[in-house]
Amino acid sequence: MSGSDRTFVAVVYAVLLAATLAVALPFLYVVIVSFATKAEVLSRGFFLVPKTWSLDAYQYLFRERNFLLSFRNSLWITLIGTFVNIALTSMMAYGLSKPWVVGRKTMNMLVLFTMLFNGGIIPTYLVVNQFGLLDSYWSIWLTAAIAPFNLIVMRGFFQSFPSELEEASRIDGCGELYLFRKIVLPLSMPAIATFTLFYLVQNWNTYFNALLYLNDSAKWPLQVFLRQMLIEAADSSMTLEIEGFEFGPPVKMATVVATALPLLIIYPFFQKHFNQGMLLGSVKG
Amino acid sequence: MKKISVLLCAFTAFALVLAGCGDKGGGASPAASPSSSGASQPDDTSKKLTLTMMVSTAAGGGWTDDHPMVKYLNDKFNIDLKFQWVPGDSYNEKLNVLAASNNFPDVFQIWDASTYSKWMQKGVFLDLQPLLGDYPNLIGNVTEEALAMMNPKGKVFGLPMYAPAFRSNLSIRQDWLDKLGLQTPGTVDEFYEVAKAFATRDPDGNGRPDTIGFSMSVSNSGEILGIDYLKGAFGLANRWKDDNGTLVAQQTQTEEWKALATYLRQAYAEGVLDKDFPVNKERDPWNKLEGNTNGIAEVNPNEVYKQSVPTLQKLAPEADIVQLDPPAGPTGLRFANTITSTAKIVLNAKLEEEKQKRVLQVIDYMFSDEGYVWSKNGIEGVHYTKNGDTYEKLDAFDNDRPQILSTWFIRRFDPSIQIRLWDDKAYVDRVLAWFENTEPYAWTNPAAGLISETFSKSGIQLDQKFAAAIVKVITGNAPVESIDDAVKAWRDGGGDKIIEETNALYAELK
Amino acid sequence: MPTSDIRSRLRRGLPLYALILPGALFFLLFRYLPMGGILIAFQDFEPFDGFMKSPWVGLDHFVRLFGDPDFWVLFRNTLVLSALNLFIFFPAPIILALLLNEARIRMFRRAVQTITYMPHFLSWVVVVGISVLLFSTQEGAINQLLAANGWGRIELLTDSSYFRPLYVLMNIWKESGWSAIIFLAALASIDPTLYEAAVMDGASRWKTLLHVSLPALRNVIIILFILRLGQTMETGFEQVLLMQNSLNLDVSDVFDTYVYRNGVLTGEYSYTTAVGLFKSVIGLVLIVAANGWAKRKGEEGVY
Repeated sequence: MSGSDRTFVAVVYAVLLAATLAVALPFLYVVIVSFATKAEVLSRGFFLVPKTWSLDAYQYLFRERNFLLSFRNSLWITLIGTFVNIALTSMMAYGLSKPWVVGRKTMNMLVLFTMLFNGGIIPTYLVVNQFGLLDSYWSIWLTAAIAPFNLIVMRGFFQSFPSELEEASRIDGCGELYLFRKIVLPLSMPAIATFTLFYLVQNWNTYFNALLYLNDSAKWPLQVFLRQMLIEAADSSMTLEIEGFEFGPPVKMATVVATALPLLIIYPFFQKHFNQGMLLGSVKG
Repeated sequence: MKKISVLLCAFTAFALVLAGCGDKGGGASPAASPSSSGASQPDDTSKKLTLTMMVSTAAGGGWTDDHPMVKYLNDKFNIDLKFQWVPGDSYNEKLNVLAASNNFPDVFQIWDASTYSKWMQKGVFLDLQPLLGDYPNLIGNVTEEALAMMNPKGKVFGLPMYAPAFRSNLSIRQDWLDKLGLQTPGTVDEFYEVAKAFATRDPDGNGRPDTIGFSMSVSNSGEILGIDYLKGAFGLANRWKDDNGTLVAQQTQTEEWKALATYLRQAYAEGVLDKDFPVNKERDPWNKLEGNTNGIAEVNPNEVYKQSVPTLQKLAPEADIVQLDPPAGPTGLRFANTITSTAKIVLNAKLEEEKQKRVLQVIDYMFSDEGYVWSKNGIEGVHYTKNGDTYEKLDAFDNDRPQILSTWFIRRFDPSIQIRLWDDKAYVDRVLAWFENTEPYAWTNPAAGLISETFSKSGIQLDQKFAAAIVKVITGNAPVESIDDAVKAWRDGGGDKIIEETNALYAELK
Repeated sequence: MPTSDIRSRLRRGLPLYALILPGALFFLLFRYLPMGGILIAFQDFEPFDGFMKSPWVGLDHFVRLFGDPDFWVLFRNTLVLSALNLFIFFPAPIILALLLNEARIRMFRRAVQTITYMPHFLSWVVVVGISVLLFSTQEGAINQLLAANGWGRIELLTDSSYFRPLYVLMNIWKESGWSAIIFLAALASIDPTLYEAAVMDGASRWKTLLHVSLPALRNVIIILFILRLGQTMETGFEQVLLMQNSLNLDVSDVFDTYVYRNGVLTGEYSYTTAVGLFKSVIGLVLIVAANGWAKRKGEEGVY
């Protein structure tokens, strides 16, 4: 390895390390607080090692009947929702990526338009109501079916797909749909993985739509249940007092950790798709 | 061209959708108003009714459908209670979409005073006046003023949601006073000296200058919170003051603000007042008290002994928090943080007569002696046990949280709203003493519940600017004289109109 | 090769229209059907009265907005924050992705990716809360450190001059890892033979980055940049509201926080919608201009 390359690599690793530390430390604080006591958190400023470790916050969370119920709901919403999202988005993105499709430009404009202009909460609610979707998970799955941003970027990915492969398949007599399913999709895994992850996170974090469209709190996803914990009720007599247990920052941070943890766990499964290109023919270093 | 026609189609379709919604709302048969003679038949609960209730929630959430408290009510009143629990910070948005689709539940809460006024006039709520006579428990446990507040004469469109007037009560670290050899302060000057000692003489004994005398915060809607006791002492009004029949707005009390700002400015400069106050959240002064850094703060008497003292004693075992009477100002005035709740519990105007009665029965039960105990403590045998004369809490109480209807939905006008059967008498007396002691210092707002139209539109914006100007004086970023400009800006920006409109509404009350 | 005969193009496009159809239905029903709601910007909308019975007020709300004495301050503040996002925040995830792409030690790379992506899942309430713990003048960790060493305290959270830098730095801290994912995916799609060719040509790592990796991101960067321009009037409401306090209003007040006090808290749906409409129109103008410019340069635009 040449001298300039050595410096280059050193700089790369140094910057990445610095970035990681800058990110990790405050995040670590959040996790540590969830394992500390309220008294300590309120009296000390920023700290990384608690004097007293405590599982109180998590015990409080898991004791709530609603916790496991809403966790299960979230899994369901995320599973079906993400499937609907990625299916609709990738199909439409592919369809719009072919320059010879008639009406393509208009459709693209219409999609873009919705990124900027929105009817608002009330009109959307009325439409959902009119279709009889209130109190059903379909209200969530359908109102958020496609994120225009994801659609536009994914379309961009499909547009950059090497045309030689497509031409080769067409010459072999493949139809458009076959081309999509068997050739383009499998080779577009980085894009598909990226947007599946995006939609997964979007679904897992569903809060406001669930609140609005689901009247029955038994259907609520995790975020709604947990966000309630973070409400600094202006009317402090609304904060529950539970004998001997102190509600405060540890519980709040525990809810943050509880929501974020599943997403952190699944990320590595998606990572390999982002790193795919590097597995082929890379030089060690 | 294509785009425009698509949009036009969308608009037309949308309009049709909404027209359809109008019909849907009117589909439910409107209930005839109950006969105004008091001779209406009491409901005999023979028919099972489904009732929908919308309740604002905070930490922990609501009850599940199979909760023992829900079952109890269902069995007792032959109903099928369907709760719609809505987290407090999104309650108003949910309410508005329900309004837009004309799809209100049978009984729900209104937290925002101006929404209540607007919708009351549109006939969204049922007039309860003719029915109340049948429910003595209800009438007997709310105050006349609260019942009449924001309602036109002779009509009652909503039941008042009680909040203890002195829920934010001034407290002080007695052990710090003792340690530094200080007397309980009686005037604002003595208060300053004590606070200064707390900030500078290391009362927590750790050799570091990490303590403060007192603290406060500024809300997003332009209110300076946490120092009502100082505001009152310096002669400021709790929003409005009745001066010979005319209302005076606190934003026009220039001299009083200047005096208070000067006092606070010095406190800030000398480190007596928490220098982080501009970024504090509302509960931070109290949090800092619990965190052993703040010596004086407003606390909730119903929670101080069960929450604050235990937390604090983990850090400082000899810590003792006691009530502090509001200090007297330069002219001898003493006022305490006083809350007037304008929240209401309302019934859907379209409710059928039998449902109206059933709902009121349930609420009346919660106001009755037996029901009140039930709503605060839960079910005997499930959430607590009785051994002769003493009571003992069971674990199910913490798991089931049976008290949430009394904390979040509706309750008697009674400061002992969080007192449980198993609390020992000495404790109960100590807590209630806080409320009793503060009575003489009530800082009333004569215009509570009067919403001027200009205030609805620009009140918050104007208040925020005003508060920002005051804060700048306190931190030393602006001279005290700038308060004159702040007052003028408030008046010119719409304050004068607000004064005019509020006075007009006030005159109507007489 | 595209045929110029419309009918044969239509026929050829049939299977593709089939793919587009479900998504198109979504846009029609759940985006365009409610879009008429924008009209409430020209009404005095009351949720209970509904669309039909609320009175029409024409351009009153826009007159109110433009006539507000603070309008230009809000506009300036909003634009400055957006510019910071566009020119300082925007490159950060790109740089991060490029650097990650160069880190060949698999474990390190994965760890860094995972860790930097974590803050995205914290809500702004938590992040600003942490910033208060670190930066507040009296009790903040940084200032306590400074004071302990005899240096003066810095009013990071209340002094207006720190607001903008803090705003963009916090955004970078929170969102770079997440935003880098798209660029990582784009880099993963690069044909590995290009790298091999570069090695054979004796190019240094740095040169390879500049001439192989970076150009591959061109399309994605342009698309994302144009889309970001459309969001110029958006400044991240939650973040700004939480960072805003009495002492930094002159730089921290933006349209979103203004409308929060004057429309959302006061229940004035119409005014809120009108301000939103104004923001959207500005965004649209910028997107159209940028897209046109990109197309003239021979790039793929967003439509």
